[in-house]
Formats: sequence, structure tokens, C-alpha cells
Amino acid sequence: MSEELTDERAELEAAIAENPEEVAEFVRRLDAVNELLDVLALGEGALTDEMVRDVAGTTATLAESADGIATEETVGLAETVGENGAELEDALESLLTLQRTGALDELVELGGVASLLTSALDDEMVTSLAGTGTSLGELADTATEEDTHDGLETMLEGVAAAEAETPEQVGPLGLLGAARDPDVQYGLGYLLSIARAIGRERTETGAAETTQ
Amino acid sequence: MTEHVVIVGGGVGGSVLANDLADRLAPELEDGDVRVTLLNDSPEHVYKPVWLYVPFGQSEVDDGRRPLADLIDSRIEIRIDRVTDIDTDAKTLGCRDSDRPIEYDHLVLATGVTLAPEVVPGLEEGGHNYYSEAGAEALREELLSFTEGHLVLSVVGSPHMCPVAPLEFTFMADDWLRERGLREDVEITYTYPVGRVHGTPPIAEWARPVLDDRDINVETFFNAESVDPEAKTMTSMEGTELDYDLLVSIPPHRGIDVIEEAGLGEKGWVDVDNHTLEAETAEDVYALGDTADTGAPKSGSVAHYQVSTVGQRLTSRIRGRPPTATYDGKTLCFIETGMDEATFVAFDYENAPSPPPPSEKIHWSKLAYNESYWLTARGLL
Ligand SMILES: Cc1cc2nc3c(=O)[nH]c(=O)nc-3n(C[C@H](O)[C@H](O)[C@H](O)COP(=O)(O)OP(=O)(O)OC[C@H]3O[C@@H](n4cnc5c(N)ncnc54)[C@H](O)[C@@H]3O)c2cc1C
Repeated sequence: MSEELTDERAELEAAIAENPEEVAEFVRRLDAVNELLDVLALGEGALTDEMVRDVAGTTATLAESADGIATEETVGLAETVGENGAELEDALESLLTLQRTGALDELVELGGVASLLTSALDDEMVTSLAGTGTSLGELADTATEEDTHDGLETMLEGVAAAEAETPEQVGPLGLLGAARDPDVQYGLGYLLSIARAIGRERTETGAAETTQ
Repeated sequence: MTEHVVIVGGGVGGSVLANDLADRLAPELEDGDVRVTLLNDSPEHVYKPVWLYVPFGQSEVDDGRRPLADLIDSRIEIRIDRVTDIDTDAKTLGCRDSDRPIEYDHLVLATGVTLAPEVVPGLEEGGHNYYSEAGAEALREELLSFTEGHLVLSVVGSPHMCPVAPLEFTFMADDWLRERGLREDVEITYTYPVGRVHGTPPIAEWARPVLDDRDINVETFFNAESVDPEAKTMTSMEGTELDYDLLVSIPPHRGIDVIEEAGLGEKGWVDVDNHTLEAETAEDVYALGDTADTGAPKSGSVAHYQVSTVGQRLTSRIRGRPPTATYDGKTLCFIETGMDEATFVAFDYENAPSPPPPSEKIHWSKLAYNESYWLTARGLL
């Protein structure tokens, strides 16, 4: 072990001696920390309510444990932590790594945001958010089908181009004139085929509903 | 017979409730058994929390405005008019621009607050505020060019909207002046009417050392009596006199007169059961948000959380079932502690707040929420 690490170890031991209760609590929560690190790697989307609460508590404990690291007093720690020796060693390694990489501060801040989320949400909000997310997902699912996607793109580009021009008022004669323009003819054909497909879609779902 | 639900006020509470009812009562609306009307005195919905950032040049008042018609579900009838009379016996509303009264079966009052700076002589002429669109814009003109002197933030009215906004403004001004190297030339004083820096003791205990650390002078037990705009002084009922160069006040607040005239509650605050949000003095009347006198703070989050209680209770009544939903006082307020850090408080009727350490991430969360507020108004969040 390098000299630097030995020094840190000694400092940590001193800190543990000073804060045996916090350390024991930290060890107890080590699972939550590891789980948290996995989840952070996975993305915050995977957090569950339960984990969010754990994380908030754990980060607070981490911060308290880390607070004591610079103190000097040394008292025997074996009797306080007792049979958790091996786990404690793991815990200390984790704590050291977290502190050295600056992740500890990040975790404390994320813990704040996590507890903000749990405080802010209520059942209604979770339900409507999940509902919105699902509808958006379903919409996206349809919209990403290749044909739908291409069709939407054509329509949207058409809308954007039309928005960029100033539309002129057109009377019946103008309409007849425009109908001779090949672009308009193509567009009308396209719109008619959409109209036909919508009609088919409605008859099919209508039929499905009445046979249910 | 079609039952008519009328919501008065298309701010946070009224708009979120209108969209909530559009979903909850979808079958009844579809069958024509229920109509829901949202009555607001302007065609635009206004989101006030944006105003905090206007004096610092970080938002425009237009960022907090959207046409109601864009936000409200098409199954809801929107009517632009100002309610001038409520008759809870006849179950009718009188409106400014209409000769015929509107009949209701269920009435929800979400009319928010009205500022009453005239209560303190000289305050309107001598003081600025960021509690109205015009006020926030006028203050911006002063603040952006304020480089030296005495800035006083005085909480005159209580209760007022957003219980922590005065602290937020003070912390932000301090940080903003520091960032620009001007803090040495600007003295800042914060005044509060009771014997601590905030009405809620845990928030006061948290905020006091922060104010002290930042060399912000504190005057507690300071109940503004008058302002002298010429001499630029402010006097309290307790006999303290403060000189100021720039006075930013939280003006006195009231509910709308119509509520008091209808016997629904004093000073325009509707007297309601804290949990059911049903009016104490009339049948089939509910109130939510700032105008409801529940003891919960006057904040957008409260209005938002109260919606589901009123929405569920109304729906139960309409369906002939006993209503069971209740509001537990849930409140959440962000607290900007500077220009790029924030914390938050969450509490209810039973549990006291305890702010976590301020961080940039919570500040980002506040900014992000202010943007996504429009999803809340639409009933999506
Ligand atoms: C500077 C500032 C910062 C804030 N920051 C926050 C924050 O960060 N978080 C938070 O949760 N809250 C915050 N708030 C508070 C929040 O904006 C209010 O609590 C919230 O808007 C209350 O919602 P409401 O529906 O009760 O009233 P409002 O949103 O005020 O809506 C009332 C509506 O009723 C209409 N109305 C009134 N009288 C009549 C009538 N007679 N006829 C027809 N219509 C009428 C009004 O025009 C308005 O549209 C802040 C407020 C301010 C001023």
C-alpha cells in the first residue's frame, strides 16, 4: 500500500473513532450506495421511490461521515463496529473513492434533488405523468413507423413551406387555375389518398367496436 | 338536467382544475349531463413566479403569459368576464359585461389575490415591487442601474403570495451585486413584521444565519406604517425609521371584494374547511389557491395540489357518491439562495419544513419547473 493511502487510512480510522455511530449507519446503508452507483450508471430513469428515499438518506449520512475525516482523535473502533470488519473495509474503500473523485459532493447534491422529487410528486402527478409518457410513447411508436415517419415529414415540410410564403386569397376561378399546376395535382392526390385511408381506418375500428 | 360547474379565476388553481375536470368528468361532458365553465377576467393566463426574475433582467413578463384558449381543454367553456356579484342562495353570478346572471350548481372560487398598497400611505409612490407585471418592469428599470446606496426589502403585507419570495429576492440581490463587484457599495436591509425573519419558525431558523453571513441587515417587528417618498424614509408602527435609496416592498394583499360582499369570508379570503376546501357559509361552493383561507401558504404549488381534492369531491357529488378526498396541507416552495443556487422546503399541516443544503442542481430544478409549468397548466404534470 502506498504511503499516501496509509495516511488516508489512518485519518479515516481516526474519523471512524470519532463518529462510530455514523460509520455503523453508513455500513448498514452500503448496499444502498452500491445500488445507487449502479443506478447512476444506468441512468436516473431507473430510480424507484424506495431507492430515491434511501439515496437521500444515504447521501446525508455520507456527508456526515465525511465531515469527520479531518479530525484527529483515535479511539478503538473494533468494538463499535464489531463483526462488520470486512464490510467496513469495503465501505471505507467506497467512501474513499467517492471522496477522492468528488463523487461524494455530487451524490449529496443529487440526494437533494431526489428528495425534492419525492416531496414534490403526489399520486395524481405520478399517474398523469405516467399517462402522458405512455401516450407520447404510443404516439412516437406510430410516428416512427417508416411510412408514417416519411408521410409526416412530407406534410410538415409542406406546412413549413406554406408558412414561409404569404398565402393569397383564392376564389373559384383561382382554384380551377391552381388545379392545373402539377405540384397542386400531386398534393391533392396525396391528400385524397390520406382521406381514403382515414375513412378505411374509421370503418375498420368502427366495425371492431361494434363486434366487441 | 345538465349540472353546471362554474370555476371563477383562470390562474394556476382554476386552469389546472378545469383541465382536471375535463378528464375526470369526460363521460358526463360527452353525454351533456355536465357543463364546466371557466370564467376569467382576461383572455390570458398569467404565471406569476416568472416575475421574480424580471427585475434582474432574466425573464420578461410575457414569458408568464399564454392565451387561456391554448391551455384549456376544448370540452371546457371559457368565458371572459369579471364576476361582480355572487348570490349563494339563488346560486347565481353577476358579471360586468353581461346583463343575465349565470346560474351554477357547483361553484369553485379561484380568484387569487389583489394587491392593496394604498393601505400604507406613501407606499405606492415611494416603493417598488415585483408582485405585479407593471411593478416588476418598473423595478427592473431601477435595479439594473442601481450601483450604490441602501436597498431595503420590506415585507409589508402578510399573508402574501409565495411565502419565501421576499427571502429569495434578498438573497438573489445580494449575490447579483456581489457578482458584479457592487456589494461593498450597496447596503441591504430586510424587514419582517413579526419577531423573526419568516412566519414559519423552521424557515426563519434556517434563513437567519444565511442573512447574517451575507451582511444583510435585519429588522424584525417592523410593521410599516407610512412611507415618505420625498424624504425616502419608511416608518414602522413600532417607531423605527429607515432611510432607503431603493425600497422594494411586498405590498398588503386582499382577496376580491365580491367574496366579502357575498358573506363568504373576511378580506376576500373564503372561509373553508382546511381539508375539504368547501366553503363554511354556503352550500356547493369550494375555494382553492390563494383565495382559500386554509392556513396553507399562498403558493402555486398549494393551488396545484388542492386541485385533485376539489376535482375528486366535485366528481363524487355529481355522481351521487360520498366525497372522501381531502387536502393535507401539502406545500412545496423552491428557495433561490443566490443567482445559481437554490434549496426547497416541503411541508404540510403536520410536518415542518427542513431545507437541504442549497445546490446548483436544485436551482436548475426550479428553472426547469418554471419552463415545464405549462404542462401543469394543461393538466399533464
Ligand atoms: C413574485 C412571485 C413569485 C412566486 N413564486 C412562486 C413559486 O416559486 N412557487 C409557487 O408555488 N408559487 C409562487 N408564487 C405564488 C403563485 O403565483 C400563486 O400562489 C398562484 O398563482 C395562486 O394561484 P390561484 O389560482 O389561487 O390565483 P392566480 O394564479 O392569481 O389566479 C387568479 C385568477 O383569477 C382571476 N380573477 C380574479 N378576480 C376575478 C373576478 N372577479 N372575475 C373573474 N376572474 C377573476 C385573475 O385574473 C386570475 O387569472 C409566486 C408569486 C409571486 C407574485
